[in-house]
Amino acid sequence: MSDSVLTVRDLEVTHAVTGQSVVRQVSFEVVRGRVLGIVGESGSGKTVTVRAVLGILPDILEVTGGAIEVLGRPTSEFTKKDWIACRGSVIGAVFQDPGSYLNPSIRLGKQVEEVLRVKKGLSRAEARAETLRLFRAVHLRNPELVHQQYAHELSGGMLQRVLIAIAISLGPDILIADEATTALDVTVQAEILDLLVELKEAEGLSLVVISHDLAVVAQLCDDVVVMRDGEIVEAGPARAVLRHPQHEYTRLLISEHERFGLDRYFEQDASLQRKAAS
Amino acid sequence: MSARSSLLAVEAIDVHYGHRRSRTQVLDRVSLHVEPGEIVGLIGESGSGKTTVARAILGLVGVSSGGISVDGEPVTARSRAQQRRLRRRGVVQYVFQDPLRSLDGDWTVGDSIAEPLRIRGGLSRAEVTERVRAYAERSKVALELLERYPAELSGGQRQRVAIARALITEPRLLLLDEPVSALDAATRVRIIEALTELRAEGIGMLYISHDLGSVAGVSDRTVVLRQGRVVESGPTRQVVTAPEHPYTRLLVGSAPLLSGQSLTREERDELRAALAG
Amino acid sequence: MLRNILRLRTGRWAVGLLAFLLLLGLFGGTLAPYEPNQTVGDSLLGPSAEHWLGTDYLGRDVLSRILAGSALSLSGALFVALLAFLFGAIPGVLSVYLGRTFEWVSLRVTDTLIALPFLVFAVAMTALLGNGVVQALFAVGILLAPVFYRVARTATLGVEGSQYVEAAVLAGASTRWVVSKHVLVKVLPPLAIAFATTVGTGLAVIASLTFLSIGVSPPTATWGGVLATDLQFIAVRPSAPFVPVALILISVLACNLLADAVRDVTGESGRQLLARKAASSSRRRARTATANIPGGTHV
Repeated sequence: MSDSVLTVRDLEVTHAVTGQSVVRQVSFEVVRGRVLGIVGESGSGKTVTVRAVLGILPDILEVTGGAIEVLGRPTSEFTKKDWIACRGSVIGAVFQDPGSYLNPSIRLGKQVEEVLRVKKGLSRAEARAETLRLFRAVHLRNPELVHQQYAHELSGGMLQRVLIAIAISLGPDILIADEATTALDVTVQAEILDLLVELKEAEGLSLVVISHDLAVVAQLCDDVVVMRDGEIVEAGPARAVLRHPQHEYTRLLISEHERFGLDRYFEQDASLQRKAAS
Repeated sequence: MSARSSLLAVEAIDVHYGHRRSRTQVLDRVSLHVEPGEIVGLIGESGSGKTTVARAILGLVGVSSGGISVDGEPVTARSRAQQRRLRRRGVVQYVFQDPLRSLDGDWTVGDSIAEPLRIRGGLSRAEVTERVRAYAERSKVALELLERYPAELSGGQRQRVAIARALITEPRLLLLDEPVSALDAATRVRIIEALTELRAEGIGMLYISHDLGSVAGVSDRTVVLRQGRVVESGPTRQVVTAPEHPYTRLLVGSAPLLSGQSLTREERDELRAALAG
Repeated sequence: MLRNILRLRTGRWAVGLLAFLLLLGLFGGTLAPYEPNQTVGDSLLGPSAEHWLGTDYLGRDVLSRILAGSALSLSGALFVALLAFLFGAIPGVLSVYLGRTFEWVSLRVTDTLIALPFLVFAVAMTALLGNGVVQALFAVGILLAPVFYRVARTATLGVEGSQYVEAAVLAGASTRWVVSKHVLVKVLPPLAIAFATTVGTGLAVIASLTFLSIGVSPPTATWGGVLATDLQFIAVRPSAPFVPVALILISVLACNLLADAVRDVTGESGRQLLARKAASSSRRRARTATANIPGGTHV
């Protein structure tokens, strides 16, 4: 039996004013210890889906159909208190622009400690020790220094590490990364993605990676969901989707990489190697 | 290859910002060249100085040493009037990353495309209109869009407008600054295809990007910039498949691939350590 | 632009009120039932059929004085705003282009003008140039110039830093081209707003100066002057200040409404607003059309 930590079934989200559905018939499952990737461009509904899962949809959007189950419990029954208990300790999330999720006038260490003291009830000293441990876990080079620093003193990649530290501080089952590496340089993106994989292995997390870039999802994920205009156009194990894309849109994404991206060189080389071997 | 024959020749330029004590070096002996009918990728991450290279070519920042020439004619160290005359000829054109910001929101799209011609002068109103229509068609901008304002167009249409505006002076060299990063996949593909058509017509292009992966497929040669220095340059195939500098190896190994990354996590960690040390 | 302004409710109100004020300014003098500067009855009479607004302490007809004073009050305010515009907006735009020295000097002059106490400056100016209407208006105009300077400079700096100006410069555009084609279009709407606001301010300031008997000398009627005498005898005629105050407020209101309307219809946001209005009104028409059909349903 599969150990499902998050199930979304036939989710429908509707715009309260226009009455148009923003997301339709979206279903997927996050299995413990596995990585799910959601690919889609702006307007595809991927972020709305994630916000629905986290219960943080803006007021004008509402869930009008389907079900979301977190650890087997339907979120439609969640009270406000349940949501607060769920966020952070069951589902953690990081987003595209790390700077805007941190208070610019409070030292970074304090902001992490605050989460630990309020939610875990740690003492001041315990919280500090735990914060430093988390900073080391996300490979911040100088944890003591970062603890004393303010958000504007760090680069985007380092801030994203701090946010990942906060997101995993309460030991969640699921970590959602919504375009978490989009604004970063490619080498920094690789560092953050490496970190996510490492954390998944070390802390037994299930990951949901959302990106506009199929390649980011491809190299990281076990399962892939491709979204467009609020609907899922293709879903399945990453390998199968990449090898035998069924939908025209998925094929377009793949062909773009093969024609204009780095894959052009590596695909050819791989096929050359195969030829040489045979 | 002698510098004279190159369409664009950047020869060992140094660029400094700031005065006296706050003076910092942004570019350190950067050299590159672009030939007609060639796309050269200029790859650099934030702080590499790639935008400064473009601004130096355009004469927007001065170089402290070295030289830049377009078509054998030096473009550095000119008077303002000379520079203006050179720009009006429109041999070099720049395509901005975000056309919504590079087009005046109070101008119709048609007027924006026509602006370089109007600045240059010498054409009648009817001739300008005719050329705007011709170049709009060539860049696949529907003629009815010419009366609209940039905010009413999609991202792809806007970038086509920006390209039409760049082409209207019949440039021989295009500087492209992440021209597709703000677009969706289908539009991205079409714009890149349009660029390859321009290449076939003999226009040379310097394609500036932070992401090797987005340029590698179209660029004939690649120049990798790091902290103001060129760390590697050569045919794209060679740079991508047999990178020599550890930074290039890390850059290639960091780029996400459909076929799985070319380096393992441990290999990347080693390279990072080597570069940091 | 006027047509677009008239499509907004604020715009219609502004234009209506301004038309009323214009008529008042043009024909106020001829409409006056009595000679404004002559004693025509007992002093300090209350409103009556003969003297609608009563008479002042010298027995002059108040309505006539207000009507006759309209021209000077309104044209004075307009003159002040024009002066402020000329002395403020032009250096404001030029401060971005004429080099560091001009920029520094113009900024310091502006700072000084802002720091100067208003009335003290006006008193000093009239002491220096003689107490006359033109001198006083001049003083007020110069004192209000920093508003235009700042608006013009800020807007110009914003446009100058934009990518489309850089794109024009890269096409070989001269400074003149950039200013006339890109900068002015963007700078004029906020300046128009500042102008409308300043006309209102000018009116109030001239009134307050007349109140201190600076500028306009006694027998000449202005709204401010009428208000000043009314206030002196407020114990005898408590309702008297109402009409001059109302007129001053209406003028300020009209100018501010116009400023709002100008802001709403210019630039990109203005175009979007107008497009939305057009769309919604055509939708409304369509809806009423369906509603008129028996059994028609709202979609």
